Amino acid sequence: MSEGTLRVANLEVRGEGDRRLLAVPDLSITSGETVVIEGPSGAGKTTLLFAIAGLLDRAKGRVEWDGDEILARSARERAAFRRERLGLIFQEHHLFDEVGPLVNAGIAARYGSKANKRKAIVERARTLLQQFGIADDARSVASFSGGERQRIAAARALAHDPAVILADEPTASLDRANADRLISDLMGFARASGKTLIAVSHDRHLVEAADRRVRIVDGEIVSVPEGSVS
Amino acid sequence: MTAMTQWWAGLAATTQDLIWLGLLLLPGAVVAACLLTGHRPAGLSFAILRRFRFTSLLFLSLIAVSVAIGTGLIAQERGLREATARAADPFDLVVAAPGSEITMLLAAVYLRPSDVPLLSGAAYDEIARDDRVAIAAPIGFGDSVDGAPVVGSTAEFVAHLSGNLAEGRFFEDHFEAIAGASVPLSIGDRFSPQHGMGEADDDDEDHAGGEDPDHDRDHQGEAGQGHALEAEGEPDHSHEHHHAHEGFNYTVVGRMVPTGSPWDKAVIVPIEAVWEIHGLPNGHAPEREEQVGPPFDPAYFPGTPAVLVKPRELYQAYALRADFQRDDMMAFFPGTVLSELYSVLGDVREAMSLMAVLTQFLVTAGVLAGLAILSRLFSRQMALLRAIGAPTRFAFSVIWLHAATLILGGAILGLGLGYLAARAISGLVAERTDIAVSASIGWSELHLVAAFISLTLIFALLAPLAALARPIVKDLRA
Ligand SMILES: Nc1ncnc2c1ncn2[C@@H]1O[C@H](COP(=O)(O)OP(=O)(O)OP(=O)(O)O)[C@@H](O)[C@H]1O
Ligand SMILES: [Mg+2]
Repeated sequence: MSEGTLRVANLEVRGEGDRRLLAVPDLSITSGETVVIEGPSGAGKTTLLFAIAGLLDRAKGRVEWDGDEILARSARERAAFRRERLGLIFQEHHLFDEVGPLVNAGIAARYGSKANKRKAIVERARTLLQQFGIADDARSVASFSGGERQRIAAARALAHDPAVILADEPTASLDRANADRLISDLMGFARASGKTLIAVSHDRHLVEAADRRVRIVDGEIVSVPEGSVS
Repeated sequence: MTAMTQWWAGLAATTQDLIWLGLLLLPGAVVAACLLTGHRPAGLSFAILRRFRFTSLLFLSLIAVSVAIGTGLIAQERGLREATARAADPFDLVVAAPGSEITMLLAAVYLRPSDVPLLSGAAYDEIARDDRVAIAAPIGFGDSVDGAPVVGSTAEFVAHLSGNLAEGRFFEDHFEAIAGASVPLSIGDRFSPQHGMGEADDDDEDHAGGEDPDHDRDHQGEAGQGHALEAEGEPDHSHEHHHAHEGFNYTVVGRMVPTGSPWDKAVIVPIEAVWEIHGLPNGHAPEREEQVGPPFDPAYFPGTPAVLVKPRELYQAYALRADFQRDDMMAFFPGTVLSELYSVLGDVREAMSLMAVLTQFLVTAGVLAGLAILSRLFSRQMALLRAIGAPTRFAFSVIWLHAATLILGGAILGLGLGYLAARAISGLVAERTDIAVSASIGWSELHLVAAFISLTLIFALLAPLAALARPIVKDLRA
């Protein structure tokens, strides 16, 4: 099985008051696929993304990445798994505003890993920032534009060379031009390096660019006719 | 265990202090090592420091001030204790008429005289003749020149205090004087003494001293205020000198080396002259009235407030004290009286130290609580760090390192401030008492600060706990 393959079976997430937020009996995503998860607000898209990232302690069922089940593992092991194999991007960039783009993008070089791996992370961060058109200067990221900041966050998600990119509405806080730029950067990168990309988004441009759409309504996946765009 | 104790006792004091310092710092170092090994949180801690730079600066200053108060107080207290003890060092054994040891200590050692009874010529003679006594120097105070006490004694006593002279020679004539190191008189200067302590003293204290009470005819009114100091070769007894002992002039012939005691501001003259000025016999029979220094003739000895006794051998001091401690005399070791005084004050001292340390911890507790609240503002970034898989220990260390920076920075700055404060206070003390206090940062302050650092570094673990107690996903949702 090649890297970045997801198999979900009987996934169920319940929230406060035992309300069922998500139920996914079966979902498979193959290595290198680009998938957009769409659906109305409150449908459970973020919940699904968090569940397959191993961020929800209360998720039940099976989430297998490349054959490894992660839900039954400890919080520490799940963190190690994310560190190794996932790159996460959120609607809000959550950057450290007071330091420069390279410190933010190369943040993974600051914990764990061996010296040579750290160096590789920083080098990749530098290259990615360049690719994404971010000036490599020392000024703090607080002074960068919203679009630039989101691209720095994207570089951070990719710097440790994860097999899978998970993005939750990455373009929601951006204007059209910046959103398109991020979509092309992200899609271009995922396709060029064969990464699996799973993005929650309402953005039509992102949906159109993806290989596949998964639609969620009321916590359940509903089938989407091939090629149609909602 | 005993081997361990023996090994410890065999170490040099500095080595012991160093080991203590290491042991006290160890818990903090262990916490730091546990949190930081393999991680590099400094860049992100720096981001926090920058975002909250004013709050951080305020917290750092608070820690610094509290550390400064703690160390400054302890350093100052020790410096004062050592300096007063050093000033009393040359005074092996003091014998005086029965009375208060502390009053006599203040008068004879620190030159803060008050009315004291006199020791008779017979008593002095008995002391001086004792085989075990190397030096028996009478000390007669009560006069002054420009606020500097003029003390009557012997050349032996000057040599005992000062060793060699800084310049000039010992006195060979009754009206020659030797100036203390910081007295503004030069060799060859002439002055006439005033009765009492000049401007430095209260009016009612003016006849503290080594003379008969009816010497009062010698002067008019209270302690003199005028300038008795005269320009060389120009004896001038103008109207402004009416409190002075008119007609008596001393010539400065020597200067002592600095002793770090009130004696640096004193002028020592032959005790014979002090007696003569007050119209008393000068300690010697008329046929030998020109003699300077011992032996004195008990029949012509008008009395002295105190006698400094230096035993021939150190061990004889206790026997001498025992022998002279009786109904008509008292004998005491100034060093012992001082340490008794300090042990009386010991509880106060401990309470003060405790309060200083307590203040230090209260301030730091406040600062750490503030940091815990601050770190809530970083909960988003912390949530993100954990979401992308950063080890909890790393997220923890980012916040802890920020607190640790403030603690370490504050502690080091506080040590410096404490040192400066202690020095400033020492300067004031020296100015007022002429006791040279050298307050420096010693091992006990370093140990206190080390313990403080270790303890607060451990307490600083509470700050990140507050930030990391929140569930990750809560802060990730926009
Ligand atoms: N811890 C929780 N306890 C109870 N309900 C929750 C909890 N977390 C989320 N929910 C609810 O679960 C539902 C799904 O939330 P989720 O964030 O996955 O929606 P979404 O599809 O991402 O919506 P949006 O497009 O608005 O982001 C919502 O109704 C939300 O209120
Ligand atoms: Mg959502």
